[in-house]
Amino acid sequence: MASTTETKQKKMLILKSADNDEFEIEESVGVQSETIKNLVEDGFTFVPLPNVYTKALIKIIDYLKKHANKTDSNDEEIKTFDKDFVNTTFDDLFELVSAANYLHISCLMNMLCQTIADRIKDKSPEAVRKIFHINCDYTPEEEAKIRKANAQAFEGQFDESLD
Amino acid sequence: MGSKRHRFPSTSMQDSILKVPVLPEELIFEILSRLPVKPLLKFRCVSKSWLALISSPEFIKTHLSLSADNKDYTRHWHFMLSFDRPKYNLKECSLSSSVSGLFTEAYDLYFPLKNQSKIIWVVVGSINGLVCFSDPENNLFLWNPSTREYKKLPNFGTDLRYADHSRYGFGYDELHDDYKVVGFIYCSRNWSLNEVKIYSLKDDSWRSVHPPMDGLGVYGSGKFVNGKLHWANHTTGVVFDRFWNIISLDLADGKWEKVDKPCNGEEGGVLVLGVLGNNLCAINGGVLSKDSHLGTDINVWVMKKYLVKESWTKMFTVKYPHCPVSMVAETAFLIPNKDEILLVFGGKFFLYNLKDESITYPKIPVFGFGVDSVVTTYLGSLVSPVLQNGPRTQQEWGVRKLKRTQLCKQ
Repeated sequence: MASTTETKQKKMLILKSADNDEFEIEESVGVQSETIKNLVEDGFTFVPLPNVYTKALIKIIDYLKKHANKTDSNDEEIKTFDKDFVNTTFDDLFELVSAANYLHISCLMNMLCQTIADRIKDKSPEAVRKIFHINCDYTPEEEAKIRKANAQAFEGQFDESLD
Repeated sequence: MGSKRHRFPSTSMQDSILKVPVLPEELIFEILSRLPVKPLLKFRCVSKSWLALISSPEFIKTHLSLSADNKDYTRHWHFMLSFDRPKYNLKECSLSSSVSGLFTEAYDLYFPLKNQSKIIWVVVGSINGLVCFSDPENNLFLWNPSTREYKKLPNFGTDLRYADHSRYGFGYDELHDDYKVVGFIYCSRNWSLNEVKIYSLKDDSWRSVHPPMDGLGVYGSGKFVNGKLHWANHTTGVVFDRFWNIISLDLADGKWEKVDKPCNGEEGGVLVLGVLGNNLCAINGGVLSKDSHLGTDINVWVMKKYLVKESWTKMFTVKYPHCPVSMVAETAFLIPNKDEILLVFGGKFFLYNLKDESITYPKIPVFGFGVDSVVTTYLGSLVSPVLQNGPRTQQEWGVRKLKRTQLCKQ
């Protein structure tokens, strides 16, 4: 039998997503999020997250669990995990970045923002509009003027793909 | 996976509530601030709100500090190379992240004075993406090579006919958020110090400052470290003399100070100052090697802790095959993540490895033409040399003050 001190109960938290799913996680995993940490410090063990949907929350809990167990030896493993984590569609990345921002998980925010930046770097303005669901509010004359003023940035070929 | 407790089972209806995710401006800000300058210029034409965001002072500042701190230096640091053919052609190269070559592709730079006959110009300094240079007639320019914006500074206000000799320095006054140029004007007849003036980009004007106690012969352009400009100063007024010290000017309060030098003068030779990472460094050259047929020694010193004399450390000595007195260049660049220092003397490249203390001579691709020299290094930034007090204020841009979350560095 294990001694009683070793089986000391781990503190648990319940996170509730915007679509009302509940997830039980260890407190030590959850407090990597500043938002959750602040609530825990105020004595909460039940954390409603009205801005985070289940799909994103499942992925983020995965991320938090992986990064809570960071040691010197699993550096490569975490790198591979992170690489897979961001290998998804732009819409998914936007969901995740909104959630990470709301939850104040700064390392995840940084990784997601840099990933999105790297992936749009070589794209055309038209492709970027589609990816970000932005309507162009320039008149053709206005747009031509901006393009002319920044002519050096329009040299070469652009990536028109949307993924 | 989190243990999912199906007290409130989700339905496919609820899943489909996930609408098209439109990111708030705050998050667009976070994403765009991690891009290099060129795509940012391109994305100005995405929409009016993106243009306003990319042009806002907060964005430019945040972008600058993220770029300077970004460990992936290949993305944001550029080398400005000059090529002897065609005539004084300027190109920018990024350092390659691979070990095989030093530089990646080279791109033409649009030098503002390209079409004028005045082609001999000197770089005074480079900070936050702005490069300050002077021409032989003592005209000074601020130039952002990434955005191609440039500005000619107003006249010095001193009749320079009797002062054919001038030294400058360029730096950033963080306290007043202002870019400043300092000029030493020497009288040509007896080489005495005539005047010291300081230019503020915010005021767009020059004013006189008290000269330093013994600023008789400053050598080279000022080196910006820790909010201060530093010059090697020859106290007898004779350049190449061994009696030299280091003087500094605080750009925020205008105070002069003496900075301890690395050696006690027994080294002899020429001293030029440089910046390595965020530290002041001194390159001491022109000392004959013990075996004089090997050429001369070039010693590189670094002040590891600012203003701590004991922290001056002789990093290494390289042998230079020819007498470098007039050739001691001032380019020393610490390559982040690689523990390597790139030095350039007279068009020759040296790579010093800090870990195993080896020196290698990297071959650089010549891009079809011979490299004449490395002019300077600069950070890609949106900082404008013309819009400091420009007509477009923050309100007019319609950008609300953005509350930024503190992000950890990777």
